[in-house]
Amino acid sequence: MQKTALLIFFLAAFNIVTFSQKLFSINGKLRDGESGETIIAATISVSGRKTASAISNDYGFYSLSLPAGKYTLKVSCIGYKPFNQPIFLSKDTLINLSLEQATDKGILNTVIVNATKKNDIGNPETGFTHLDLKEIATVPVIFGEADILKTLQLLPGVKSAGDGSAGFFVRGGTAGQNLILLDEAPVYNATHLFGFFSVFNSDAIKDVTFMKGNSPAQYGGRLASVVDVKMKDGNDQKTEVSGGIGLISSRVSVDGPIQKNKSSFLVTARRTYADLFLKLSNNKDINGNQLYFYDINLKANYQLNNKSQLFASGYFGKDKLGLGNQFGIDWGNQTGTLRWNYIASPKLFSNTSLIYSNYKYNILLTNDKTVFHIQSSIKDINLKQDFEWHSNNKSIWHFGVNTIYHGIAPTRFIGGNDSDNYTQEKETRFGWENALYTNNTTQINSLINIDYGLRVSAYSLLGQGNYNIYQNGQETGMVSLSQGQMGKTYFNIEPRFSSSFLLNKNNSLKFAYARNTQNLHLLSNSASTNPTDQWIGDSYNIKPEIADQISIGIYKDLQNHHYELSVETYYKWMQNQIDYKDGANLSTSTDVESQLLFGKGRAFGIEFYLKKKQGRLTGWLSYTLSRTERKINGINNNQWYDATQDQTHNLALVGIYKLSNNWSLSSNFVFYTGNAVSFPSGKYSIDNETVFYYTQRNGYRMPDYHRLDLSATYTRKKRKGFESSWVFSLFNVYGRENAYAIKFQDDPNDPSKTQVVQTSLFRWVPSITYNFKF
Amino acid sequence: MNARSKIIWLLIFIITAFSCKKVIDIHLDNTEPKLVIEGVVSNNSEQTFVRITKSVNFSEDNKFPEVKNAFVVLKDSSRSFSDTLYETTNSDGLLIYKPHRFRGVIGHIYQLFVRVDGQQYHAQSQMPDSVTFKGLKLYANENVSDTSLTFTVVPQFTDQKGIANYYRFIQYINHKKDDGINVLNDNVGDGLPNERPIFTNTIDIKLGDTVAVKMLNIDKNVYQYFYELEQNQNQMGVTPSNPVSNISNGALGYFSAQYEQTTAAIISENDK
Repeated sequence: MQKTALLIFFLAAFNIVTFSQKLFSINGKLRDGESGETIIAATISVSGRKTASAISNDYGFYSLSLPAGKYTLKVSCIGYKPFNQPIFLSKDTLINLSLEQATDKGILNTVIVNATKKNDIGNPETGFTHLDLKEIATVPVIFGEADILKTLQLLPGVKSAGDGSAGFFVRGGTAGQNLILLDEAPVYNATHLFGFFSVFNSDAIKDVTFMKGNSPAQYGGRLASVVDVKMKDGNDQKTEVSGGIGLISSRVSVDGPIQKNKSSFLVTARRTYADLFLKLSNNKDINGNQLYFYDINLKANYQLNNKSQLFASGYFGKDKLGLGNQFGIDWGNQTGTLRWNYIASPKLFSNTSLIYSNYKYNILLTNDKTVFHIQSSIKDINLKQDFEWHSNNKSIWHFGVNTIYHGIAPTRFIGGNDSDNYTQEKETRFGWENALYTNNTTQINSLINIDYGLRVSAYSLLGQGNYNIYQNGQETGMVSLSQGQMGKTYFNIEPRFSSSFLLNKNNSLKFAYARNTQNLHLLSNSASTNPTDQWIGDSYNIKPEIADQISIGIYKDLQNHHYELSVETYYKWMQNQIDYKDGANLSTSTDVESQLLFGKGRAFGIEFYLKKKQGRLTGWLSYTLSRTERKINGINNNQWYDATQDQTHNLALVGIYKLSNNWSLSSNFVFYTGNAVSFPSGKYSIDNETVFYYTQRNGYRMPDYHRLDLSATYTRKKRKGFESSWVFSLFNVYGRENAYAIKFQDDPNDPSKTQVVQTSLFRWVPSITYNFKF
Repeated sequence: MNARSKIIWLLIFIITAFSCKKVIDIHLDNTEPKLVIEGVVSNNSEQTFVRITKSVNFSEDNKFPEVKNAFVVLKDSSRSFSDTLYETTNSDGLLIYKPHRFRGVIGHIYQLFVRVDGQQYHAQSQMPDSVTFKGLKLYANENVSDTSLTFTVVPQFTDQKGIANYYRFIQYINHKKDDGINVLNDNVGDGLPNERPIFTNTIDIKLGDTVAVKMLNIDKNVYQYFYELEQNQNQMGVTPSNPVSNISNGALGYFSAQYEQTTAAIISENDK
């Protein structure tokens, strides 16, 4: 560790002293000429100077430093026509550029999961993927809706939690260890309809970056991964309408200028209408049921001047399910982001964000005159200041601060009737989370790139509240905090380092280490994501979760960029992992902390990824061999056991074939080992009924999961600005009955026997979606 | 309130159109037979008994070997009275151990000693205070699959304020026992009239049925035991495990000193 620190210091010093010649900066923002959207990850360079190049950042900003002189400025980006412009540089110059989109043919040849510079073999980041939304749209999914979370699950190292769950596991992490950001706002439950849809409406999404545990220091707060989703800004040139009509859901999106070249807006909305079919039923018991979700994405931006831009974005989503008037559940996220981008100097880019996020669920039970609710919520207010400093062409610094105020209402029972009140008094917990970070990306020479950083995180318990202290499940004390009083503060130092070594033109080797910590914990004892899973902050019992991950990878560019191959291995140590006690009471126990157990985890694996990037047939093959284990005090006699999310084999094959100008076909095949589960080994009799005897935690496996999906897309030629396409898809082509649940019970036909009953969902789900844009 | 299982049922309902069920074969490991002890001390002396059986492998028939020739002693430690139980068969023809003269009293602490094959087992339970079981309230469920009505029972009693009370319910529909496990505590609604329903597992309650509900006041350990069994029975989401027994030496089962009351009702049109 000391050696690494020394190296970092040396490199940083090296960085500052290398350039002494007077340099000027060319900087500005890159935009799409047609829509005015800022362009992420384009390469900006000048003729004649190989080493001078820059990559536009998440907000389209670039900065390039050069001695005075005449140059030709070149910009290249996949999906756009190459751009050249002669310039004469004699002082710092601000140049905002617009790029023209390439023709259709050009787009056809783009890669699948877009290997722009960010995923280049020379880039230091490991376990890093940029998703291309155009391509996500071609991967077949259930109900025909393009879905970024479902597509992520086809990448190596990412495991699906199964049918009926958008939850996913990254490198042995749990579903709650993924940081899912929508325009920087954390989304606490990214699923609709118990996971059949994700909350991300692809129409509203511009860019998705996915990092598997080795993210730079500007990200933090979750152990396993970061899914950074950025919404479109909205077209500032002309108004566009697009949408899709499907069998069970429809969506519409409108964006356009408020003031041309200056400001724009985006509104997208989506709703399912499965319940409208229920309404068709004559049976009042069926047509009285509710079953829908909707979500709305809003965004507006305004360019104050050449250097300064304001953004406001919001997301509102809600699910509602109701069984007659007796039972219902609804849940939803709301997020809001106010952001100010400012080019403070030719080399310094500033991003200030004020972020709000709220997730809550509510279960309603009525019984005669009595109305009960079970509720929980989490609310955040979050202030972020990030600076990006292009110290020279080879080095970019990020530094900043992030402060979050959390309010978490634990699951509690509320309600009553005219005469009695059954409400449970449970305190809302408050927490204050802070982080300071700095991160540097440096190109040391033409062969070596490094990225290193440090994040200092702190989580403070805030009053008002009483915190119980438990020892071996027994309450041993209590700490009372008054309004606004600060209780225990947990500090953590998180070093991050990653590097790439170019072995030759087509091969590179990468190494990365990162420590991540997590102060908010998702309590979930089931494999699938459930809207009633609750979040809880650190306390006197719950300590920050810590993960240390090392990964090493080899990257190969094959056949002149036609193929790309990567092999990555990782090993991860996890501390302060949380699990429920056997037989924990989750919803009505007076303090859920009394139901928790703590321990450690370890995960390791190897990931293979082969991608065909060009030609009529594109696609990829990903395979992961891995193991994830836990050791929790009080579970499985304190021995290591397979974590629920341990899936030995995980394979995904995706193919997209361009048949003609109108038709394209795509398919995917997945195979993975079933989750680790606890099945009974024996049985006995209690009260003359059969009950089951268990020998160990997660000692058995769900059956292997496999499935093939197909889809065909017919695109009509653009006519008078009107584009449309039909997407036909078939989910689970060969009707594999994948196990959703396995139940052990007495045989209803022969009470002297027991039987095992498997429930599976979704055999052959066809769907048709009509998409349009004008 | 078993909200989780209700949610799951709702989910199942949603996906009924797509889901399918089938009986499958799964290889499950064999286990050593484990000793199972069920001991009950009741205010109703007819219901005071101990039964000792053994577990079997999952694939075997539901014939659980009965353990004979055990040495079984019940002790009322609140009044230093012991009784050595004798072997007999109950009305269902099952082997049980019965006391000669033993009736449970509220507040008394009872102990169970069992010796089988040279192994000793011990357990203790205190009979909780009784809460008056006033009757049954029924409400009709709108059935999702057809137009027939099914009914759910809300046991009527008023919880004791300031005391932790634990309840277990057994439902008999037309004199047939339902295997659904239902326990309640007063984490919610301490000291208030009960409004929480109890659910049947395999038998639907229909118009015209006779429903009898046995309410048991149980102690905390026994509540936890049956709570875990209930969770296992739902088998949805929650990772199942063996419930924590209050019997020593690794025996399965439970020992409960409990106060029982039964009320019954015939489901009529008025309950709609």
